[in-house]
Amino acid sequence: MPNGILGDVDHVRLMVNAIVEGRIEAKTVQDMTDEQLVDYIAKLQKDARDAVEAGYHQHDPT
Amino acid sequence: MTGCDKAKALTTVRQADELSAKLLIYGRNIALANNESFARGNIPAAVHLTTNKAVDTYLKGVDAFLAGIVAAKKAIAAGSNASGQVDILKALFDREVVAAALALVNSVTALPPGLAGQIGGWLAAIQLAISSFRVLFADAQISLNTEVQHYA
Repeated sequence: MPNGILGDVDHVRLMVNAIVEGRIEAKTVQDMTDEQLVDYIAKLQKDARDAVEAGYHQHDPT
Repeated sequence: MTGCDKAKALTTVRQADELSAKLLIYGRNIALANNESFARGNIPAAVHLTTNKAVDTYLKGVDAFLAGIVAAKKAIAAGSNASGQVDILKALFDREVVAAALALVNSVTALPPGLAGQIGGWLAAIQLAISSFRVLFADAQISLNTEVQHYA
């Protein structure tokens, strides 16, 4: 079915885009000093934690 | 421990740090995509909350592993057995990260195609990173054990 085929193509495109975007961002760490990497990881931990907390907040905005 | 062992172990730990950064990026991206999809009304509350909790558990696992990396750095710098530290990190990785990543994969099977495609990409990236970790640990163990044999 055409819709099914287009759906599959779209699914693959989204997957590839996600992997490429993630890899481009992750690649930047290779050029960092050890100290910069520690700071960057702390920032990533906070960003990821904030995103999860924002998710919980969407269910309980009080 | 030889100076060479120490250098190899510290290189392994640095590479583990770099791979962990990727794990955090992918986890954050999944959480953001999940939140955006829910805000747009594309997924029901139960699906959003289940995925969010799975990401939460996964990130706690990555955080625990990162704490292990910090401890391993200190131990190696203080002269602890390098091979032993790599073994500890490997065990910690399997227990904290791999199990939570598998739970995360299982939690996103009910997502609509668009979001599943996006999240599926990051899940694939997480699985690739896990494979890279396995290669990293295996290389380190072979390398450090070889070193022990040379100096035995």
